[in-house]
Amino acid sequence: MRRFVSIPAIALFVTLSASTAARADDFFTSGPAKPDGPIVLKVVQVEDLDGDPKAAGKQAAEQLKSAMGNVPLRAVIVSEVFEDIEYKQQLLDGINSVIAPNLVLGGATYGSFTHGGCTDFDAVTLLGIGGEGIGVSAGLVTKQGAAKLVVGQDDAAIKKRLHAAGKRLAGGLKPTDADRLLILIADAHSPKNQYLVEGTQAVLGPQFPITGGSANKNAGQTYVYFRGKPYQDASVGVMLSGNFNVALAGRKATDNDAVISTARDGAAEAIKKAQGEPLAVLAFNCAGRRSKLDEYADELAAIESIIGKNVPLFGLYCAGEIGPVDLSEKSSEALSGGSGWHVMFTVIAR
Amino acid sequence: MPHNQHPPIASPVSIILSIALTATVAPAAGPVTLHVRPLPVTPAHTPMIYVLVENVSDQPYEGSIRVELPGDWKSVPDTRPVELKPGERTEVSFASEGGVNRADNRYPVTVTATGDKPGTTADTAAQPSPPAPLPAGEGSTADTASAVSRNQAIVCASAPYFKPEIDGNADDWQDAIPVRWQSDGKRTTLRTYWNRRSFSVLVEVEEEDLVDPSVSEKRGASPAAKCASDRVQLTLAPRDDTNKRFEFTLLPNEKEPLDGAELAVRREGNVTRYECMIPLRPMRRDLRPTEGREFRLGLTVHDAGNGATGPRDVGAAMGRKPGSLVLWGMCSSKY
Repeated sequence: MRRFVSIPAIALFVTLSASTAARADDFFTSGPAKPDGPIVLKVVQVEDLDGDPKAAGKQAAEQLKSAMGNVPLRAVIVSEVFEDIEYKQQLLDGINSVIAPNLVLGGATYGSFTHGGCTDFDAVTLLGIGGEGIGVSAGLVTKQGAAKLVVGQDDAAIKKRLHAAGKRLAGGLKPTDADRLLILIADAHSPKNQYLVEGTQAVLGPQFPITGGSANKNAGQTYVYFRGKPYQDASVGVMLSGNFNVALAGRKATDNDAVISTARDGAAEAIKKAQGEPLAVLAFNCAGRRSKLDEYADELAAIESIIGKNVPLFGLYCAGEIGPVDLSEKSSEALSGGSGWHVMFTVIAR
Repeated sequence: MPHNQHPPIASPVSIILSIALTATVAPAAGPVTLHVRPLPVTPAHTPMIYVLVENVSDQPYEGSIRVELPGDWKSVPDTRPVELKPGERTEVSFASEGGVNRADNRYPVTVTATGDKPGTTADTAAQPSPPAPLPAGEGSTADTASAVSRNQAIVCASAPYFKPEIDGNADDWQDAIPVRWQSDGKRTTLRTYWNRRSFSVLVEVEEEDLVDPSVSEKRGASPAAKCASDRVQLTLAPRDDTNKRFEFTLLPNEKEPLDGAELAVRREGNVTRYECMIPLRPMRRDLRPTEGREFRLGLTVHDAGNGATGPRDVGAAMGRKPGSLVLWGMCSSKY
């Protein structure tokens, strides 16, 4: 069969390609959620004890698919702590071999924590988001222009560029009334993350629930993932929509006892505010807080003392956290902000 | 002295004498001694400020501790109360905000202890003083009837995350945090990096010549010959376990001081540069390398040959006893 392509169509294609050449911004949507459709959120975690990131990625993806059962995935959020892009790419290859790469989002972190424990080395954790009751719109903004700028020296440029990136990201997600939560995973470590949040709030409004974390900021480790590929100087936004509600709480701490107690208090506040049955708990936590713990497990135990062990827990150790900043440093009326030394809880409930 | 000549032998006695001279400290003049710990992360990362307070008097001490930081850098809260029994010591912590990093990594601070009760400033000059502060022992005390005040120049003692190429060049070390001190007018600079697989140091030693043990003795040289050569002793240890330590000796003629390690030694002008990467795997369980963790580090440069200064010790430079291990942080990368 012969195909016809009109000249105007070709011209339009060329124009679009040229306009996006400078930035590889990208967006996709799963389509709207069905009000009474099922919502399934599952978390799996795999530590690579064999020095084989691809096998670890494949194993984690297979575990996630198994955990989801027959529920189709809308998106998968990756938190990984493998060293260097060579191994990160191998990990992604393993995940992409099982899960459609278009659904694979996330970023490099300093590790994760789930009901299975805490990781800080050669490990991957996946959050599966699935079911017809939840809609996912995801976006990637690249070439933010702030990755190599230094806080304290380039503040004005950081603010301007990340405000712009945040607006591009939120605008590209094409917000709807069904939206409930924006998850940001960003190459914008604390305190840069505040500007990215402000940019998204310029589109979504100051009271829209936003949570998330900043990618690992170590040299050579800073990547976010979109459609199964790694990007630098970029941010990923995952907008969840549907017939559910979210409850957010954030706490700040800088020493062992306070890290444990604030984790407990923050989890309690979020659980208390949640309406309905909790479906999952997201916890974007600070790697610095973790470093103050005598034992990683102590903070996890404090969280589990509140949320129990049955509700899936997707915890990430980040280079900056997004959510309701602690009252001790809250400076605006916005629901969420970007900060450091925080644990930011979100309970998704229905 | 050219490095192809036989190095002079430094006897153990002369090394011990050097240490003893370095260890001389000023007597205390107040009821408490004060020492601000090095910073585990740079000021821009809002480090905690830790003040070691020791009651060196024979009476209980009640008072408050205040830390004054440079520029707009503030401690939170302004003051902290302290109560100490005679001879008791404690660590008082402050949060901080508004700090700005300095390229020379030197931050002048003033810490003051103000007594609440009459009689708490009894003269206790016979009591030992706390270690002098950083670097090269810089610091001073100024006591009044009610207060003991100490000026210190503190540094950030921390290893940013990075993997340098071990080639003897300093090109990769621009984002490291330098700790510099002088011994008999000769500068030593220590920089450190870490990543999840290795720990790296760059030690730049200003010295008249490089005395290499291989020039006079082949590998397997006698201990005396090794002692007479230039070398760097590095110690890594867990933060809280004083029974464990990992020791390394970096010799100019060794490229792989232990399995998996890399060492490059290069001399430029009057500076010898030791660049070394040590695998963390054997120490991982003890050092627990992650962002924000602290461990203890010791480093002694042995300067032999013409114009030798003898041992140059980072612990002594930070006001501790020579050979002391100092708390060292592991932080994330610069940007």
